[in-house]
Amino acid sequence: MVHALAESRRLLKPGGLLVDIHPLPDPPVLAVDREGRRAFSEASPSQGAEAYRQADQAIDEAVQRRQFAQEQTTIFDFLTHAPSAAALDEYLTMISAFDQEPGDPGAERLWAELLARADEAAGASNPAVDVILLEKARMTSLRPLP
Amino acid sequence: MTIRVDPEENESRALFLLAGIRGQEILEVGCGDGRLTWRIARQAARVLAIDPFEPSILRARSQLPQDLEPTVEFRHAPFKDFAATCPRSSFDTLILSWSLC
Repeated sequence: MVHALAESRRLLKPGGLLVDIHPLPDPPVLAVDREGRRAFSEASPSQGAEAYRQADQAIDEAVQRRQFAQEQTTIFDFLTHAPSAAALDEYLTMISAFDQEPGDPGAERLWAELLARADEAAGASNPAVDVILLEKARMTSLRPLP
Repeated sequence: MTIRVDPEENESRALFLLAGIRGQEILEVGCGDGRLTWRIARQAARVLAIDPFEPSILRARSQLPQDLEPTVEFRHAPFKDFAATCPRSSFDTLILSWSLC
């Protein structure tokens, strides 16, 4: 992470801007909306929390070493919508295929149980179902210092 | 499978508030399938978007709207390898898109 920040600094033009975006360590929420009403909402097991804390720490260190000046930070909701719990799971598996960290078997079991409960709340073959994964993410702008 | 990722555009809205990217040369690191790239490209002069996961880059290229083709280049590369060959001071804005963690 420190290497990535140092390389970012090198690649930016003088006066350029680095923007970092990553999720908060808080567990994401899995929700089900059925016919426009929230039918289910539970926190899901978070598997990336430690990596997200390390990313925060790397940014703090880069600021303390006066490599960057932190300008602004904002937190926003990042939502992924799927027509079913299975479709959401399939998508998340696909986009995490490159992750090099092995999954936590305990968290994976809890996730599978959570998906089953969401599926039950969604009901069978309901076209008006929206399965939503809600993550909180932080965006930080950093200006390289000479 | 119809998946909608950030259809509310909360991410791009936050980005445009934090960084004025109009007319800028942008490097996006960790572009995935290009969901943020296209939104950036509507304002930027040029976007070079990289990702270490080749299937994502192939998907991003296949889904790129035709009118953005002159503005966007997708490249399959880990950031470390890309940075090793890229000249210094190449970009106005560099976005680490869920890639620092």
